[in-house]
This record gives sequence, C-alpha cells and structure tokens, in this order.
Amino acid sequence: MTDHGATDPDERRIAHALVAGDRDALAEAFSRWGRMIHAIGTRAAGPDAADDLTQSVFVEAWRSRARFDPERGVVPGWLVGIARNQIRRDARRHREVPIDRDVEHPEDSREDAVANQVVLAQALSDLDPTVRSTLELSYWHGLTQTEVATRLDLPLGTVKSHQRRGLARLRDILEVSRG
Amino acid sequence: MAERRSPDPDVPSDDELLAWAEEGRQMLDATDQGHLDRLWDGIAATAFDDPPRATEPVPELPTRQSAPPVDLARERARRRPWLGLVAAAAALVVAVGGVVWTTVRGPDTVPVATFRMDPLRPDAPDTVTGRIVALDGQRRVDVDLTDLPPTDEAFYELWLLDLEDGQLVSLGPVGDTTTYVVPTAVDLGSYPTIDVSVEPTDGDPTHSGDSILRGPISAAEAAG
Repeated sequence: MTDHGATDPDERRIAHALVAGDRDALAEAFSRWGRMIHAIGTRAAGPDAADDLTQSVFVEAWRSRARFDPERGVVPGWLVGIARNQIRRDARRHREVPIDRDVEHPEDSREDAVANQVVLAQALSDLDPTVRSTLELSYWHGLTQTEVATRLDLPLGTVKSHQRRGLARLRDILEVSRG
Repeated sequence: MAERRSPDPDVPSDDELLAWAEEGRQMLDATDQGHLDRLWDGIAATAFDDPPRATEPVPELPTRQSAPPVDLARERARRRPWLGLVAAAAALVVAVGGVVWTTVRGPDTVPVATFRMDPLRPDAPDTVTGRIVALDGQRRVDVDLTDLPPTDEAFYELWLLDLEDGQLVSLGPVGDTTTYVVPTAVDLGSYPTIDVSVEPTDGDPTHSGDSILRGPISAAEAAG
C-alpha cells in the first residue's frame, strides 16, 4: 500500500471534481471531513476559534485546489495539512518572543497528536464496514481473529486480510496527513 | 521520540493506531452536526465569491435597463441584412410549395440559420449545435438542450442576444423540448448571438448574466 492517492472510489471522485472546480465537491468534502477539521480546531484553539479555522480551511482548500494532486494525496490528509499550518501560524502570531522554526514546541506536538487521533478516527469510520468491524472487535473488544471470524461469519483468512488492509490504510492516511 | 507515551512516534503499533482512533472518535462525536452545517454558508459565500473560469472571460452582458434606446429600423438596416434576406427567401420557397425541400429537408421546413454554442462554464456540456428553420412562416430554433447538468433552485433559459447594443429576446425556459419559437415580431438579423443562461428562481425576468453556453448565429447556406 504505497499508493498515496485515494483508494476509496467516492473519495477519488470528490478529489477530482474538486480540482476541476466543482462547487458541489467542496460541499461534499465539507460534509465528509468538516467534523474532523472542527475537532482538531476545537482541541487546538477552542470551539469559537474552531469555527473560524474550519471555514478558513475549506476556503483555502477551494482557492488552492489547483495545487492538490488527487493521484498523490488524499483529501482528508490535505485538509488536515492546511489546518495544521493555520494553527501553527496563528499560534506563532500569538507568541511574544520570535521563535526558531527548527525548535519543536510542546503546543505543536500536542496539536499533532490530536490531529493524528482525529484523522485515524475518520479514516477508520471511512473504511468498509466489514473491514472496520474486524478491527474494532479485535482491538476494542479484545476478540481473537478466530473469534472475530466466528462472530462475523467470515473465513479466518478473510478476517486476517481485512485487518491487514485496514491497518495499512490507517497507516497510509497517518503518513500522508503528517506531511 | 521513540517513547510510546505520546501519540506521535514515528511508527505506532497496531494497538496504538486503534487506541488513537478511539480517542479521535470521542472528539469527533463531541461535535454537533447542526452547528457544523451552519458553517457551510460562510464557506460557500467566501470561497465562491470569485469563481474561477475554465475558459476566457465571458463578455459582459448589458442589462435591459442599462441599454440605450435604439432606432430599430435603422439598426436593422445596419446589421446582418442577409439573415432577413435568407428568411424572406425561405418564406418564399415555402409559399411556392417547396418541392425540393420536402425531399431533402423534411416537410415544409426551410433552414434559416445555424449556430454553435460553446461552453462558458466548467460544468457546461461540450459544444451544442442547432439551427433555425422556418415552417409555415413561423421561425423556430431547433436545439437539443436536454442534457444540461441538473440545477438546484434555478432553470436554464434560451436567449437571442445583441451583445454590442445590449438587446435581448428570451425564447423561453429550457425544457424537454428541442423546439423554441422565435416570436414573429423579432428580426433575427438584429440578434447575432444565441445564449443559454442559468436563471435563479428569484422572480427577476431579466438575463441573470450567468451564461452556460453561447455562440454566434450564421446564415444557413443558400440552397441551390
């Protein structure tokens, strides 16, 4: 799974339509990933600032859509990247002392952690429902792969490949959105 | 960096991936959907304020109100007298009986003009061609506009335009038909352009200025 473009056909469609300038595609992207951006903004800056952040991220996504390559990136990762840049820019504006760009700041890593968590949650909920179930049952409910296979009435091999595929997808999304 | 206490190591374990996802899910669930929905209007208003154009800029369309009054008789003589001539010739052929036309062009219709409309918006279909014919003294536009993309709270309308002087005539809303009647009083020679606009259902009968297709009208080739 080294391909970084979207594998979900619906996501691919949104990505290509967005780049082509389809306004409905921005609306779809917002309805699908707006919650994720808002959650990141809420943790980073509070609920009111999250509203502003969410709006400016989607406006910026629309304006810079020509720079997004659907074959190389995934829309949620790209949106999170825009959000993180804005959060960092806002945070730096509010710091009293000019800072060295190379120095890692605790705020930055906390925001990164939140972004990672939200991105993963979104990616998990975007997975095929069966694939998602195999992961949730194993990792959240503590079932073995054999128990998952019985519970979902699937061959053990299918459960294993679903889990492998799902985890690979989560890692891909995480890697891309970390930019 | 390699410690696993913070969800930001380089390579998280599978357990960590799912644990982070669970943390994230709680944050996602804490967001009210209705509140999110209300943010959309602000995004759309700002983002679509300066919509990009896929093609060259659309010529400014003067509105009915801003156009100066025109001496129609004089203007008619100045503009495209050929279209009037072709129409007159067409009418004559129809009057004489149109034996040639019935075999070649179908019963009693006489070509007056043809046109090709090019897309003006990214969501427009490819080029659309059509023709204007005369039938029993009535002129009509034959064009298939049934494949335009669906619209929300808007409809398409077909127009004859004179971009230079801001004159325009509506041929009506676009529907399932492929036939639009040109009012008898309209001098086709005065309207060199045909246009399809997107009209919001706002009760304003004038051209919205938002065109999806537009092209020049050319006289039909003189027959035999």
